[in-house]
Amino acid sequence: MFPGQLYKTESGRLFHAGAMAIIFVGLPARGKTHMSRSLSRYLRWLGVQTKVFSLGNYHRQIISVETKNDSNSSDNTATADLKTKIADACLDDMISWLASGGQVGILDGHNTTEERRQELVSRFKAVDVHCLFIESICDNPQIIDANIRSVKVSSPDYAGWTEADAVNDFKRKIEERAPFYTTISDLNLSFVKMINVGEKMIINNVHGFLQSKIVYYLTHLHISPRKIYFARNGVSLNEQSYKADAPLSPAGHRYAENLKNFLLKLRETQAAALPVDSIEAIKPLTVWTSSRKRSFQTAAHFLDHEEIVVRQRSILSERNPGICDQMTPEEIEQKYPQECLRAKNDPYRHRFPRAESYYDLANRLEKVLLELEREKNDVLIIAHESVIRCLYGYLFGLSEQDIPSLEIPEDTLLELVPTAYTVEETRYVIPDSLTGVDWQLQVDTFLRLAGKVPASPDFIDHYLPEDKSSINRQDGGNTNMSSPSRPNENSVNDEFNQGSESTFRL
Amino acid sequence: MGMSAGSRIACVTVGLPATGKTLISQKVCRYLQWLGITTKVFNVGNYRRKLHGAHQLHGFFDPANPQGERSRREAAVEALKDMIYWFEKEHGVVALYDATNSTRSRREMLLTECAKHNIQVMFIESICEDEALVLHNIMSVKLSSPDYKDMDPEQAVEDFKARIVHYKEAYETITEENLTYIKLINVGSQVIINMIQGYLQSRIVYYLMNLHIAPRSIFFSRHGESLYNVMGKLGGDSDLSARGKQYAKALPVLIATHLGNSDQLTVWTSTMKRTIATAEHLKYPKLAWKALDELDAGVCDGMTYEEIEEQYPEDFANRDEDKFNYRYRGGESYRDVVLRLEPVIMELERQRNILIIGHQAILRCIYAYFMNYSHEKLPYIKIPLHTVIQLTPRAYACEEKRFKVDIEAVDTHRPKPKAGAPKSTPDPATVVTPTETASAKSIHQPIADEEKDIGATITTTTMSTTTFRDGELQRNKETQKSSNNEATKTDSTLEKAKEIQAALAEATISDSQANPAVALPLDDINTPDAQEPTATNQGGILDAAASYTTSPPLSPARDTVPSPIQAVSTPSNKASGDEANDNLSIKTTDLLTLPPVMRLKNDLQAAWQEGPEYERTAGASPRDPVVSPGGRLLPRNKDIYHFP
Repeated sequence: MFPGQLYKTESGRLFHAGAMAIIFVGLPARGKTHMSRSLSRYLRWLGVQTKVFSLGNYHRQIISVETKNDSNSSDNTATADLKTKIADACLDDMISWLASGGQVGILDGHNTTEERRQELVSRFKAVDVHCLFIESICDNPQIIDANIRSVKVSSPDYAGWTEADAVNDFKRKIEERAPFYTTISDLNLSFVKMINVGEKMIINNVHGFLQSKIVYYLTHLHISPRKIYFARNGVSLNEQSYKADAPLSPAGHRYAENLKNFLLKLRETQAAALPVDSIEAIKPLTVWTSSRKRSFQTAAHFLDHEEIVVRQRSILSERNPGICDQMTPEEIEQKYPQECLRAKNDPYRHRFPRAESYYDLANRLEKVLLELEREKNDVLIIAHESVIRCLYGYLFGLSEQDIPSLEIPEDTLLELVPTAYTVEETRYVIPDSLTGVDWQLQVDTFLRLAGKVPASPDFIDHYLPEDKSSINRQDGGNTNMSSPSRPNENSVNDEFNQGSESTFRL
Repeated sequence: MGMSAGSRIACVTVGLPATGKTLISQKVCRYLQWLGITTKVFNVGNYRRKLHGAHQLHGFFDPANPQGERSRREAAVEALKDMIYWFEKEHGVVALYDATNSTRSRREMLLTECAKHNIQVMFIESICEDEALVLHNIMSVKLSSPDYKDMDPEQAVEDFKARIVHYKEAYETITEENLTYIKLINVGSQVIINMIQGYLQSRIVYYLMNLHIAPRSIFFSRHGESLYNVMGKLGGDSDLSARGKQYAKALPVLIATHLGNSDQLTVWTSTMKRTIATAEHLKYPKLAWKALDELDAGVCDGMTYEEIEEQYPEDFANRDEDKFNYRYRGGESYRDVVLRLEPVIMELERQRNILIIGHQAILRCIYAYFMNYSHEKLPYIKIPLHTVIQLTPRAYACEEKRFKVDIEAVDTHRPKPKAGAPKSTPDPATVVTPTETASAKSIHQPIADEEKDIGATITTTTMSTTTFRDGELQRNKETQKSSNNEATKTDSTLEKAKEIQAALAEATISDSQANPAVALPLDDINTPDAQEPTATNQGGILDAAASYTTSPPLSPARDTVPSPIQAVSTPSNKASGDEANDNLSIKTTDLLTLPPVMRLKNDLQAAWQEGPEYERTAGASPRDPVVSPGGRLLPRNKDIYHFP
């Protein structure tokens, strides 16, 4: 079972669909590897048995780098034979893996000729595997160039080369292959053509849940560099109760202010460190937060910076603890020993009565994952530990065993930079920049701000109009999707005290 | 702050007549509205009919006919003006500009004007090379258009075909590579998307890719009556009551009967005990979705409405004020539920026959999607217990049938208190809707005093036990029982129902999609008490109304009942005790001969949606306050916008 798997079937294959071969088509440096890795990560997260079969890896394993570089021309019949052998070895492995219960095999190779594709179709048809071709076409030299520099030059093939040599050599290889390349034209095939990384897509003969999910996922992919930050929300006045949805404590506000100060400083430093002629400018920052009070009140501190977009979204809410609300681990252990035993055996999937499991949470977060893929700005996600665990688990392709016990420390900012092959992570401990400040005095200001965190009903570039808040008076602190307005200080204070009050009532 | 920038999109359809453009526009509009995005369809055909009359023969559409050409352009410009006005003045987010837009020059005009007002344009081109499909579309949709009213069908088909030929002469498919577009070729067998950006656009694309037109039915049922239902408590994860279990046993026969020839069905349940137990006897593949779990009432979970009002009076009042957006403390709002149900809806669009065994709030949300209810009305939709609802998607709307199973259950519907009623003073008369007063009086006479203590916002029907029975027998019995006073009430309801019925019948006959003039009784239709009468189109309509409004008392109010078991077995409850066992066993014959309860309302709603000169009172923009009962005319003086 996998982090986001919707359900389990007897065959071990999902969506009652058969096995599928996803075959990448395109010249080198068209982002095929990036796409195949990302797709595989997403499909595995969905619970689909997925494996990437990379022709490049087979090459590297079978022939040494020197011979390969010498003989990349297709004129050379001897090496052409060798290439066929390598390609066949890769294909055979994929077919036998699919036969042993795999559901989606991804063939990451060039497959640039019509004959080769026909051959693949007939090979897979013989074993009852459906073929979906994904052709990446790129006629924008800038994208190709950026791709060569960011991915290929750092590949193991060019260990020890200078960058200029490597780039030239690689370009030569592309040119050699180009004359033999024909684009897919057989309309009987199922195919997706991605032109200039999703600028245009042609989708032919694509049906069914899994295939349409794949296409939908592909529409979100991009390769422009950006950063993803994670930070936990501050401490609330009542940490024991989910239902109380208590506001942030003064200490939580202090943390929030520190987080903001640190992140802004960090970004400033990074921007200053960039070379002057660098194309990689620092991206604008967007803050996503849940609609739980302690989250959006933490995020509210970013509101006094107008250039930063802050949005609360209900689907980022933490795991619902169900019957365990307001109980300490010991109490739960004492009251529900059976449930605890089951939770220990399957911490990811076990659902306490009325509660959400990590698995439920992961499914709920799927929409956020896709948006995270699509987002080109830098994003800071301020959320509960459980939410960060799931998102982090997806980005690193972790298994469900790992997610519930992931360490996401408090007072720490996580900075992730997605690259073609992996994600780079840096952790920063947030320093206290507020010594000597009478923090209590400023809390009211931020509570007033917190009422202004706009709700984004479903997507980040749209939120409810402000006037809505006047329609839904929300006194007493129960949150509303639309930004609750705080007309005067009294209600702010009421709101602030509400949390502790309602805990007594509970 | 107001609206955020960059989120205004005009979806412009492109394609020959009868390629499903209007269907696409309607569905996208409904989907986005349901998600809470202000969306509206601008159908140029309606403008043309309004400006130049309906009965235009194909010569009007000949590109060589300069007058026709000018007239059609005029209609396009009018619609465009209205659309831009709507974006500017009414905070529109997505507009669907539904017309053929088949020439490059027309598209350029649209692009230029939209660019002036900072509106993104996304073209949706539908190409249909399958002649049979086009013909099917002409037969099923176009012949009922006002253009061909009173015309011989064969002649009309010929004329329409000639109209298509005219459009074909001038048709230019989209080739401009700098435009944002999606091309749907032969109902999605090939899709081309170009320059799609942002969440909304990719969401629309995904939605369009999941649509299919194969016939199917969607069945809904709430779980059988649960112990908490009997106790009047919210939420919880309780087991089924004895009657709930009876319902679970009755379900397989009912479903099998109405599934038709197909035996292909998948059952979806929530992860809660009561839905899983209700699905227990069904022999179809089953899936349990966490996303289908009931709305989380947070701190109020496990309380009765009275307890909530007592402990959280302010919350209670807030909830009545805006039930859709009200989020329970530490729990969810209907809006939250809509968001979490979105993947379920997407999957429903893709699937064939589905039976959802769900919960009241959940089914309200899903039902609202298919039947196009506004967010305002959504939380008050009636989804009674022990009733199966069958929706069959048709060209522009869903056809609805309801099958009530003859097993009693409590009524958990809590209607919206009337606006302006004092929230905390006990004055039931001003709060309870007329029909409910009628039934309430007959049911709760003995505890009238306690009612007062509870307060006005709790209507007495909240926990009254209502019988769901069909057939004349039941009606006769009840009519006899009801007092004179109630009989009058019932009569007036019936009369109203008849009126609406007549209007509806006329509406469907004349035109189901493009005649806003018939859309008068929308408010009648949508108020909870009038909903039942309009729900039917055969003799059954009157039965339903009668049996609903005059249901006899079956269970005393919860305050007088110490335990749920007793509530079921009080002497006044005919369906309880030993004697009741016979009643409980399902009457299969009744079930099979049941007249299907049809709902035509939806066609009417489609008419509203299409009508260009009217704005629907609710739904066009779910967050707008309801302005007038009938819909209002858009201002015609919009000289600030000039078009070439």
